Amino acid sequence: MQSGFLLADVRVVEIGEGRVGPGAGLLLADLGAEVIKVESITRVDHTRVSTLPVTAASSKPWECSPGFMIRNHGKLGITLDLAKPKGRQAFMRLIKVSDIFFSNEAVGVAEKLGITYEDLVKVNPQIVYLSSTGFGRAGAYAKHVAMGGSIDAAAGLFGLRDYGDGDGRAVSPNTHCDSIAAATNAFAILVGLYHRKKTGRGTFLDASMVEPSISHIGEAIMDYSMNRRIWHSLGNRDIARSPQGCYRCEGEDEWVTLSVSSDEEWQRLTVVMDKPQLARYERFVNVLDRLRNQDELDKLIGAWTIQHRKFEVTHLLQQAGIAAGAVSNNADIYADPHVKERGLLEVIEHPEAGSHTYASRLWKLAETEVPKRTHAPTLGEHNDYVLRQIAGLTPEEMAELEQEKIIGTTPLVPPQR
Amino acid sequence: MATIDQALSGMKVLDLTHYIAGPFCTKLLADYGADVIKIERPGNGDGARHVGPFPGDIPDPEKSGLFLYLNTNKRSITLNLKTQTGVDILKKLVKQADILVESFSPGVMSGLGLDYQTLKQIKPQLVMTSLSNFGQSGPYRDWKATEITLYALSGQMYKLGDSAREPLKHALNVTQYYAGKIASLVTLAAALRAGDKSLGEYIDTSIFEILVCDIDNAIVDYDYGGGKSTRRISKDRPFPPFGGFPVKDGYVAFQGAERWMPRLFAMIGKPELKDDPRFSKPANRKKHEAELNELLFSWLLDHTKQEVFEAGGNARHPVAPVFNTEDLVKDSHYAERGTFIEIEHPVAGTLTYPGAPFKMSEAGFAIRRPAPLLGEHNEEIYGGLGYSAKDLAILRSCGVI
Repeated sequence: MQSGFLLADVRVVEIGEGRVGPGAGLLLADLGAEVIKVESITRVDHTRVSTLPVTAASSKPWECSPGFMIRNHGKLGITLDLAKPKGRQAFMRLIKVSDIFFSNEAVGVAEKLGITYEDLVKVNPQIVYLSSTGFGRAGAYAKHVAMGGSIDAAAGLFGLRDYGDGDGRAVSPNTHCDSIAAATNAFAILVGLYHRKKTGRGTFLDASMVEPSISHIGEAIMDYSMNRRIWHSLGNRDIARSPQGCYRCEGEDEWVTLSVSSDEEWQRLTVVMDKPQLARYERFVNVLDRLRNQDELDKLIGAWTIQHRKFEVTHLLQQAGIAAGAVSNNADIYADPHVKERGLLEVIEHPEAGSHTYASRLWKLAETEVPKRTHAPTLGEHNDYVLRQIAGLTPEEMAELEQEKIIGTTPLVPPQR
Repeated sequence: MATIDQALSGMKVLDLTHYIAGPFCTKLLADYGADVIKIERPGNGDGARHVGPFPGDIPDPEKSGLFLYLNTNKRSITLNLKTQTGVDILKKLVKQADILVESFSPGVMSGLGLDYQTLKQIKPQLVMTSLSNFGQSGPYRDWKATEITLYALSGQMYKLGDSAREPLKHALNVTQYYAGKIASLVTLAAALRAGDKSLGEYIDTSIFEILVCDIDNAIVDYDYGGGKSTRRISKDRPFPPFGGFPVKDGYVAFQGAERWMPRLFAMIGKPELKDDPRFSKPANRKKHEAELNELLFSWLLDHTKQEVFEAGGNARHPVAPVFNTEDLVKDSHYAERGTFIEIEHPVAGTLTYPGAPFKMSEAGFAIRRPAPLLGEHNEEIYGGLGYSAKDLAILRSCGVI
């Protein structure tokens, strides 16, 4: 096995907040890049305030938030107050020796701090610079503060995931659009890097959150394009598969999903449910009839699943060659045999938060060692290493920055959720 | 055909994927310049050709909206890998390729004698990516799957929907698209290293694992929170507002936060409420919830989606209109930004497609060609291997292409 990571020799500087920025940095760190996360003690990331219970006996709650951890493993962490000229200068010295800079700060912030692409290119003409915003850097919507939950609506996904009755009040908030944007940003950065290796030229990458999400519902756009047909949510049903749905099982809030994709599978399902006569009912033989009569079908299936546990149903149907999947909750995933065998659980020790289990990497490589996931950095944990060894600041310059509170390891203001 | 210099121009990809996840992975590479050769089964081709939507709902393998969208910038050849001749021809193509992406059920490629160890002998610098439902190993490896069952098993679905009823899947096929995107970025990272150091790689990734290990996942929820997550909708946590709320002409979605409550009050034209003891502190707010609900809900019902969006933007509070596909395509901001593009196709005609997922200052997204007809580039590509028209006629008659 080769030990060189895929992105060995690639240095990334990240100013990331929340999920979108840090999520992109995490992907790059997992690919072996050196990712330097720039925070500030004057304004700390809101995800450093935990929404989950924290039991660690630490006097630094901002170091114990799992929401911050899971998006920032494997990175080096520094603090720099970029609003101060000395902070900005130190930042530029770091940029000079880096390959990539990216940020998901709101439109206007880079201009205010003097860290736009035009500013950075003066210092490092080959820099690959990615800006990630909700709706893009220009245009009528550029002023909007965007979060995954609002982008979900503006990109058309929210309207396609209600219970099939168009009631927006029953649609859960969800941050999948953040994940989409984070992955798109990482992909874009690598495209920029590929371009630079070929040509020696850096590039400015302008990424919005809303466009990648729209690109994930392409088939709906195409039907509007072809037929002026507006798609609405089918809930848990499918346009062409029947039955498909989510059915209650034995226990408290226990469910299973299943999808029947052919007439033969439907027949096998009736056998598994010990009701082979259903396969002969005229109103269920033909897939079009099953789609029309799915309310009745759902009741029949639900009457069977409620007598069984969700993984029992899953196994029975899988053995019969039918797509089925229990709706796993947290404890189920933790105990899942496939999760265990594929090595998706990873224990990481953190100096303040203690030892916890996290989800591991999203891919396996046959030839290359995967970088060990170091703990999410504490605030300014690597100030010395990064600013002195990499950016080349002298001990005197470091002392000045500390004295003027341009760098540090404790927030000046406690972060707010 | 014009040569456009794009970032990934010169990269050669063999594409053995079908339906959504795999083709979206290779589409991303193709749209930014890679030469992607899509290898399809003779006769039917990629199953997505038969899924639709179709213009006028009339099925036509060259007019499937899903296929047309997912296969821009690719060339198509037909090849029957169930024949030894077909496998032999593929190996010749591998010699010239940088990357091979496949999304068959695990075991298919090795059953054909096309596993990574074999292909590595032919092309040591090859980057091979396998994108499957559950991965190349493990107890669920051979399980059947669809979008909803994968989403359910991953621990993601449990959190979506009303706690009083069944959990809900996400929109359409978004998890398959997401998996394709993750696969494309790992593939690209491996291609970067292959170019630099002449070292190949085999990438094993799966839709299930990509969801389980997402940046919001059930594992961390369990480790820190224990037990089960809760499903929450807007009525379960009215303030700060989170989720869908009705307005005059539809719905808007809020993503509120405690630190933004002053902005919310400003948004509804009542900035003074941030100092009102009834509403400014969470503890008091609970007692006066009915009053606050009335204030917010009546203001919302009095305003259209765009009016709420505008007010939210000015107050810098995250909120957005719930758009449908017509809203998206007709929106003036998206039009100004160039979010959608028109592409002309020899059979399907000119249609509107989603465009670039991100912009580059140079050498970025471009449509060099529309989605290919089935086997459209057989002559071109097999000719490049040295096969004559007569050879191709023989291969066709043997069912190889």
